Amino acid sequence: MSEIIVYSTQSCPWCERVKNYLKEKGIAFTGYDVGADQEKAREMVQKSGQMGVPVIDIDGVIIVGFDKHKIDLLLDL
Amino acid sequence: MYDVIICGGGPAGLTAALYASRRNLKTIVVSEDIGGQINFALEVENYPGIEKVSGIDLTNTMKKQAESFGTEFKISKIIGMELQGEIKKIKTIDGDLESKTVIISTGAKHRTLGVAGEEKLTGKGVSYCTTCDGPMFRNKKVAVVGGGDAALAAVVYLADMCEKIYVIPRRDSFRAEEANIKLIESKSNVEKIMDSEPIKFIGDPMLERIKVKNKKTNEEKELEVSGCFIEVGYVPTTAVAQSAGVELKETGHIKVNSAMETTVSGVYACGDVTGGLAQVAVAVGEGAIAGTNAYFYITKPEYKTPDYH
Repeated sequence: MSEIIVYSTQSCPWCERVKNYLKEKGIAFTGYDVGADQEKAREMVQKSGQMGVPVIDIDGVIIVGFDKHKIDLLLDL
Repeated sequence: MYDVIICGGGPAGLTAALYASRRNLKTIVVSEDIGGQINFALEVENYPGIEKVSGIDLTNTMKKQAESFGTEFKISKIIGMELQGEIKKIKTIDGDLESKTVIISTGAKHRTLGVAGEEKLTGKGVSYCTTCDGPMFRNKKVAVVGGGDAALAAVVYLADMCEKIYVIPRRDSFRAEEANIKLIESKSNVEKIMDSEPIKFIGDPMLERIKVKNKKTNEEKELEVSGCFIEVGYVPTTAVAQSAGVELKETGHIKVNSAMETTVSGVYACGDVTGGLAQVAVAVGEGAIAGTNAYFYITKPEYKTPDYH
């Protein structure tokens, strides 16, 4: 089972898209609001080398933005 | 085989889909996303009939409406179009679709400045989505480049979160609704740097400063900011359609007549991709016309397309 983390901010359309997509496919994930949580924000910047949201961590592989094909590839969808 | 394939799922495409589906046309919307640019608006207050709504909520309702009358949706990327002849083909990365008519509502993408350091620092302080990335700059100093309504909306959004905001329009005045101009002028942490544009983005690994130049005085100065939001307009998404034979206007937008017909028979276009006033209120009007005329094209070829203006 893959461990998935989604870093997002509130009112971010791309972030909603990612989360809705994962929900649609029945994939469980942990979500962090990096606008509110400074520590998770730092974690996200460290992992992805950048500040844009959303950032998705799938078992340590980092995806920046809603890259549907990369997500499908990593999760065998 | 569909009656109509709608390329692009923003307000124009969603309205075209609604009108086509209500006429019982077999309709599908092919798009990378549903909602388009308006989804980045936190608050839409000028869509007639709805006093205040988020862009996402507005387009979610539009999608549900179209779906309720039978519109299908395919989330994918369009990589080619074959539009000449009676059967049209739309090629996506997930397969091809065929139809009798096509409606192009591919909208537009944010414009970049094309300035040194911009690309390197995108995602590292340089952003084109204020609503997405704004919260990352809580209590920091930021800049907004642009002088239109989108730029001012960005300033208003950031003013409550950030320590300081520089707003940098190219001209000596803002090209925006008076209500928005008054709003930013009332914020004490907003500084206007008129007649200017960034000439360099500086920082490693993240953005630290931007160098701006006053176009009238040629004076250059550096602003210490950790974030810079670029809101300088949009470029229509026309490459695929153009290579399929659809003619463009001098401005780069798709050429249509008042019936939303392009220069290719059976192919329509609507919304921001056709130019004109880039507003949801306009996009839905054009979408309704395109969807309805696709119906007439298919079912009543002897019927002369109504000239709506």
